[in-house]
Amino acid sequence: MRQMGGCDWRKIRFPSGAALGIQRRNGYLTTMKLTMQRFLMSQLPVALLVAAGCVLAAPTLVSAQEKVPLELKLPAPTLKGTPEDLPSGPHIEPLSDKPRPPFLIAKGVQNVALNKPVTSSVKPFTGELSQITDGKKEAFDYDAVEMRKGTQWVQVDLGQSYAIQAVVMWHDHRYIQVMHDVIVQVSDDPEFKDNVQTIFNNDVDNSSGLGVGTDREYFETHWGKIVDAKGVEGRYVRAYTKGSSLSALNCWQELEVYALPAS
Amino acid sequence: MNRAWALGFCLIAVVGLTLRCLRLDNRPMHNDEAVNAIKLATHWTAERYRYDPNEHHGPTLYYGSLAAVWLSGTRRFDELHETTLRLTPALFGVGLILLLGLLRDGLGRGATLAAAWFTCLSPAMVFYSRDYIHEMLLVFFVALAGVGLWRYARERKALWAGMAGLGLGLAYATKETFVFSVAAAAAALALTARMEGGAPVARRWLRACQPGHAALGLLVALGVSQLLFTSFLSNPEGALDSVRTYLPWLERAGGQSPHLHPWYFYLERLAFFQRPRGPVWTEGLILLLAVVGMSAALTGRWLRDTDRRLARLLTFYTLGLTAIYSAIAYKTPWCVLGFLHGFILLAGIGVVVVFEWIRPRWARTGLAVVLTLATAHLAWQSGLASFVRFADWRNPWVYAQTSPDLLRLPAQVAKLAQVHPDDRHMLVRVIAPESDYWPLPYYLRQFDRVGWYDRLPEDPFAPVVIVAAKLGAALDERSDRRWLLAGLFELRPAVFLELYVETELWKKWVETRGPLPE
Repeated sequence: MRQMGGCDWRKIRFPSGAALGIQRRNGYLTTMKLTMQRFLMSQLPVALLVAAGCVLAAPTLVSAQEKVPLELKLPAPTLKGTPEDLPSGPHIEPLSDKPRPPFLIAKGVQNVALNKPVTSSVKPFTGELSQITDGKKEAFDYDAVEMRKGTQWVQVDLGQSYAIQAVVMWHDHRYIQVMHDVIVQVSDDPEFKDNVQTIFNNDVDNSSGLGVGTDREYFETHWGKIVDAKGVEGRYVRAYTKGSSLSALNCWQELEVYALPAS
Repeated sequence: MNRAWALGFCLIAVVGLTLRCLRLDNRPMHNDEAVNAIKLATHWTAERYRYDPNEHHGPTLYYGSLAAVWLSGTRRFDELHETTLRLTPALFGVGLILLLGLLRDGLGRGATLAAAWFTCLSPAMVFYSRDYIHEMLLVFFVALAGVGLWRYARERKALWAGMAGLGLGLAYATKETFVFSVAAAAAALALTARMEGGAPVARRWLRACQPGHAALGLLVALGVSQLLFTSFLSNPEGALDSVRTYLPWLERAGGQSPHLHPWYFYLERLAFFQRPRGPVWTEGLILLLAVVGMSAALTGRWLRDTDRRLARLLTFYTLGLTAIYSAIAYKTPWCVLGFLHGFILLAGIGVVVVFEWIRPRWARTGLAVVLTLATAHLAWQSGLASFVRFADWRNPWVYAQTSPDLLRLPAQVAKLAQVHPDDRHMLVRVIAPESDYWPLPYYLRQFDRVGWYDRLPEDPFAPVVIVAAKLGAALDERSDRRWLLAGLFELRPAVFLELYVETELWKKWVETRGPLPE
């Protein structure tokens, strides 16, 4: 039996149900009221004494009880048989086949990165940098531009300053995977030293050293990843990655920038 | 024994040992390996190992692993290392090579060396010798029984009858599929006897077998298997369970399972296997030479110092076992080992036969060069399968393999625990439907407060929560960012886990961690 503040509730006696119950059943409400009043009046001093005793005794008794950490009964792991093998081909189904909600954008906004020059932190060992802005982003090997491991970036020179509304990225949707440390920055400085604005960063552990990111990681799918740039202005867009869940290598398929010329 | 032959045989065993024991920890633990490791964990608890007839194979792997555990000086379960675990099947893989030495007078000197070389280099044999599952032990024990029978047929000694019984008993206590090997062997014996002269020959073979020796073999088989199944007589129910286990497995063989595959599943992997952007894998050399060996066995020609009866027995056994495994819809690639071993022995015979076919010296030299190149290709594939593409789905022997990416997850949880006041007593919740969180129970074994859930509990929050991505838990949003999504981790291709961490704990870790690596 649980005790509350050292006061054992089993020891508090209530009148038998007969007196109260019979009167209620017969509808003699006035009689019942009177009986209750009499009872309360007669028992009040006793009740007050008991309550005071409980209040006074409670801290002493609680402190006397040894405190132990709350032990949770956690479920044990269930031994499981061999799980299902992976799908047999590269066209693995996306995790969700529901189209994502539409991303609203101003009328007339175009992909201003199309066919614009691309530079990178390291030379790709597969494909050409120009493929990142060539508009092709199919799940084919020849549409993938691969770079060595570590935090690497690609940078698009838009040719002039733009008010950027959205940046859309396809890193590598040949397989379902998660790219790590995806960071997108915009600046007017090609060296990205001055006036750098970060519009996306999911490097939550700051392992790439560009600040702790608060954005979520996401699956690579053919839908691509839309980053809301909220009209930030700049001429250069630089996007970082640091390998993926499948490979330490970095990969790019397409980078699109939807923008209007800066005012 | 010829010294050069013995030297060659020992060299092959050394190469086999190297291929099987080098970098045993390179591959993340597979679901099944982790389950086996957790079952082995009873060694460190007061609770004794009990054979579980449902879903789990026999006890030999766990008892067999104790030697490696003792030798490695592992005192606690959380000190257990993948190398220690995988050393047991690796040594049985080497044992499979060494056993061939006892078949030398049956296969012939050249065929034995060739078969040992193919066993040593076969990509499937090497790959599954490095896997903490029962299959390599099963193949070894079946071979032990077979070699015992062969030696008994030659010498009629009680020792060999006992060895055959030991192999049979241990195979029974290893994996339920040993019955396929027994059935294939019985059918092969009957067919060989028929081919060798019919009923009179069969009667002669039976008469040659002394009843006392047969009884000894059976007694050893029964005694050893039941000792293991009953956990050395501490669990009498184990004896009945060793028979009861066949019911769920029978249901599985013909029923619903994610492992139902077409009949050519094994042969495709052995003959020609290629997936997009992957290399061509083939053990076609072994298959081709085995066909040569089989044709020589059936015709009884070109066999030189190979015993015709043994060659025929191997032929029928291998074909029978291949047919049984291919006919059963339930298939997992490691089951290939049983009949691949038969193909390898026949390929050894095949090598001798092709040299019998070709007489001119220049042609024999050419054949030797071709065979050397072909075995080099086999060795290259072994290296690729076990040391480079050990977790790549385009490798024919990789199946439902844990992704290397998952290893970041327990490492991250361990780092978080270091800054949590409860340290390794930190509460961790792991939530995934259908218990699809393996091998995490192995990788999180140093934590003593981990809860495992099949569905999202009413209160899913804990300092660290790992949730299957397909549940769409969004604990960061549900907690108003008091928890943050600290990363997605690939469990297996297309299966991801999310790591949620209490924001304050994460901030503390980010603040206290050391400098970033360059």
